[in-house]
Amino acid sequence: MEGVIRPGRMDEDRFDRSRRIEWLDVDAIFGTRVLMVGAGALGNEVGKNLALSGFRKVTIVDMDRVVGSNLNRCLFFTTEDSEGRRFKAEALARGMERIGEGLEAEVVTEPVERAPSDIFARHDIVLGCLDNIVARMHVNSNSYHASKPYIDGGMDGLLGKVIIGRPPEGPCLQCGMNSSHARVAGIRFSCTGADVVFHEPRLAAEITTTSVISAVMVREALKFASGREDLLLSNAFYYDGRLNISEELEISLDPSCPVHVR
Amino acid sequence: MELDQDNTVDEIIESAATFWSKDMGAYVVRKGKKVLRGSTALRDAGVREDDTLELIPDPEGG
Repeated sequence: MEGVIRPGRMDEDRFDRSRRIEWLDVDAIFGTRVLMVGAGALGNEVGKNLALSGFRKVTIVDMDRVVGSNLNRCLFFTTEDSEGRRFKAEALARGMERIGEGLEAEVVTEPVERAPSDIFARHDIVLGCLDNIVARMHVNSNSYHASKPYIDGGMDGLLGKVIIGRPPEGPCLQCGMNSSHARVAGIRFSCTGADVVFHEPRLAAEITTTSVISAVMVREALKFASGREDLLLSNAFYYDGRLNISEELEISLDPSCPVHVR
Repeated sequence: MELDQDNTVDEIIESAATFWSKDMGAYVVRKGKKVLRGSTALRDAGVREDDTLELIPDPEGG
């Protein structure tokens, strides 16, 4: 019965401690539709945080399969997944459904460029856990034009960043790019090792950096889902784990950025 | 690094990354908290003599 005080009752509610955080709207989080692109190291950590935070409607896009070198930093991947070359998106979905109450994960095992054309419009927020600039640009522009906030994470060893695009106003991910991004746009900065279609340098990857960056990404998603856009990062968060320094950087809107030219 | 006001941020990134033999990757130049746009000349970016510019990697792994 509602309103009856019963000792210990609050400990039966999985989300009781979240409900005690004033700015979190747990019921709104339950109903927020999240599109995750990328199911590697960052995707696993983001997936864990999403599932435990109460997000229940998640679509995961990733074309890659699990390999052995993923296993030291991907919570939801198993040796069996690696030996069976299971799709990362499927393994991640299975893990998120296991720990997330009421969570239903839809899986797309194609490159994001080949995902259904309405996939951005069908979601409320987009999280990028990608390893290459071309895919980032695709997700960034499609999110912007579908008027969906895009939270992009990136890492290299002990360095990490989070950039937020908040259409219809403000800069996007591509506004902060320059000729050095164009030069390496076709390269995958990947920590994995199989089923690749183009040149791929092996990247230093470290789980504690992944944890920091994923935490910032999902925290921003929680703010958005809870209607607290006033608390969001203005655009870029930069983390240097060598010195444990983090700071907010400013990217200004580039009027010549193709995403903004109509 | 010796620069003049007509140099663009893209030129600085290219020269600095080559000179210091940086790994192939994406970089940005920041002045304080501000990330400078690649095609912008230093004059237009409001960079003055004795300002400090910093070349930082833009991490792209996931």
